[in-house]
Amino acid sequence: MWKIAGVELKSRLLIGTARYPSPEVMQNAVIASGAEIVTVSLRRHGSNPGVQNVFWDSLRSLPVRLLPNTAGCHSVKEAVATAKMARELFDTNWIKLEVIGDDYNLQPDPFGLVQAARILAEDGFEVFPYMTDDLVLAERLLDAGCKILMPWAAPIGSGQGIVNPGALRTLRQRFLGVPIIVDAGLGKPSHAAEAMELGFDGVLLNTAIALAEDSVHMAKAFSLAVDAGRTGFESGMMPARDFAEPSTPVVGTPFWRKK
Amino acid sequence: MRATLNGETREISSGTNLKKLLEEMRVDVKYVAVAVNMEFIPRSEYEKILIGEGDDVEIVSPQAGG
Repeated sequence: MWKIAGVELKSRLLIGTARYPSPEVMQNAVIASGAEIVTVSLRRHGSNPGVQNVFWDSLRSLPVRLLPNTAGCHSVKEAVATAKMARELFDTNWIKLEVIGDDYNLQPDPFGLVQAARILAEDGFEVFPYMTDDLVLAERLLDAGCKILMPWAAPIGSGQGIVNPGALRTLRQRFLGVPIIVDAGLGKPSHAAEAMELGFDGVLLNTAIALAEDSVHMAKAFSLAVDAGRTGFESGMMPARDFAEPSTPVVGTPFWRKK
Repeated sequence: MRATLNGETREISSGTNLKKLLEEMRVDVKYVAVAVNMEFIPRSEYEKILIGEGDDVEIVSPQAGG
């Protein structure tokens, strides 16, 4: 068991609900993943509200907590308004705060992110900030009232895995008491295992499961990878060495002669 | 009077409040949240908010997200 925002959880895998072939596949993938937190978003009420209502009703039937996001927001004002709309609609003060600074790689705007995080934290939100892996940004977000950090592994939807393990390792070492979830850019179960082996509290991903040929099996694979990585981290991994060291005992080796 | 609803310019009768606007649009309020001029409007205030000339109304509903 572990805790985030005062809530006890079994699973350290958080997943998104977008880009699945159908709502049924999404539901089955969420169940197979064992995730207890899923991300959702807000979009303009469309000409086909029935479809949107079905999505909402199908989500509410799942035994999960919802983490709404502010995806697509490019300014502090947009992000704050979106967060407040999400709070009312989803009946939660949790918000995955995204303030995008660059459309090419969807890199968060660190300045807007800190500003929006401060406003929302003061307003009673539990802010899950989607951030780069910058150490000083992490400090500023904690100063602004965030109690959780969500650095990226790589740009959203890129599937590259952890691009800068050194920076992530630094974040982990510097903020030992802060829940840190690696969010975005993971493409394979081994990427999730790597993040967990580095000692992170959880991982959040969407595309790697949703766009897999078999999303439900992939959800299970990520669940196993997260468990494996976490168990490895907790077990204390051996340090890497530059030289070989025989694993079979040397004493009693047949045909050995003193030279 | 003209206002923008979800990015589209629309003709609206003057004196229309947000509650009436949503009723006219046949929007089920339990599935939506609203911002006017980028300020969130709580459901409890829909009746009090009059839509004015040039107002920018955003009506959103739950969607899949990552």
